[in-house]
Amino acid sequence: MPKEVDKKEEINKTNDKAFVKKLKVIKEKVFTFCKNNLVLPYTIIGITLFFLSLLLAAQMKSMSESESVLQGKRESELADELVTLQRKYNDLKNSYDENVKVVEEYQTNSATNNELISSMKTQINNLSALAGTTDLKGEGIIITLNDGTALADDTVRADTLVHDSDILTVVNELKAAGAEAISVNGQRIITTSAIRCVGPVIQVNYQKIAAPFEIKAIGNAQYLESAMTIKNGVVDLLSEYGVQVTVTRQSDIVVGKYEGTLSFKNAIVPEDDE
Amino acid sequence: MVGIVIIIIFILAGIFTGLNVAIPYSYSQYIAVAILACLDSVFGAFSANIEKKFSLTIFLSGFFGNALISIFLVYIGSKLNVDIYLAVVIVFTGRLLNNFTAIRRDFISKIDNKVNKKESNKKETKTKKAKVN
Repeated sequence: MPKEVDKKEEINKTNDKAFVKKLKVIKEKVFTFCKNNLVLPYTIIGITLFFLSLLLAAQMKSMSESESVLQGKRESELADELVTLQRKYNDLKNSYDENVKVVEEYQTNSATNNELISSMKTQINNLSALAGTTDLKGEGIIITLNDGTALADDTVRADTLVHDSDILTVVNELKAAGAEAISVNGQRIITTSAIRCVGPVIQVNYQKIAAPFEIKAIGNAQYLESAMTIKNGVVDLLSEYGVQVTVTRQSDIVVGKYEGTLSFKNAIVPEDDE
Repeated sequence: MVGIVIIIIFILAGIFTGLNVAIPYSYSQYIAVAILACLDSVFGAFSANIEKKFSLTIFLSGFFGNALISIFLVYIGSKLNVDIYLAVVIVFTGRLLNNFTAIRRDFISKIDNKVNKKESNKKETKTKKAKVN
């Protein structure tokens, strides 16, 4: 029995040896084939050409896909910018239209006699009156300022002219005296209004206005008038310089609304933490 | 023959994979310059092979080194607002054309040699025949 086992093992061993020999022979054949046909250098060159053809194909494909109109990087960037801006513009326009519709609904839906809507409507009216986007009327005073004629003695001519600072002080005094709505030559004074000198004319709300200046103010007419004509007050001061000043009380003054668009770019209403 | 087959297989594989790769538009300039550099070194390898000066290491280093350096130059140019890629394109296309002329001259001279040999053979046979006659 043990002899047979040994024989089998021997047979196996011989088979293994033959197999290993065959493998070796094949390996040598492959090596010689490779050496004779320069397989290694050709594969290396092939790998480099693989990269080259990869880049070429990818580039050609992506170039044919992209629009032929856009040539050069800067132009493409500009086009992108244009597209994004147009999109932004469209979005803003849409939201603006929606908001306008909402406002219109609030204003016209009074027919439903809804309490909420009516209260909102009064709120809107109050707020727009405060903001200066509606005409207002009531008792008040009208102040007219005009360039004075040069006095007989040689006082400086420039003093008799109405300056932006003169109008500014008048407006300031009116506000201090409790004026509720002020306009200068039809330009409503609102939160963003500026009064300043631009060469020979004066700018209010970025609109040029010239003499004679008519300043309308709604408020308690008596208070306003007394605040203007008080001794050593604004009127005294201006007429001392040679400016023609007249103050008239009226029981019914109409102050025009602010002509223009009102919007804040930087100021944001903070959200309540309720 | 085996070498050519290997190279063709690699090129086809490259084209196939390249068709499935999308290059973003902003990088296309760099890729174009790299392609030029690679093409230049391939043509350079052909012309060097003609003069029997071809060396694999020089080819490999030129292939990848030129591409990387040209991409780097274009990048620097875009940072400095100088169109360096124009210079790279001009230099590489000039070298490409030079290499191509070298290849073409060699090819034409080889053809000429063959034609001359055939003609001379014919003449010899003719003269032999004439002598026999």
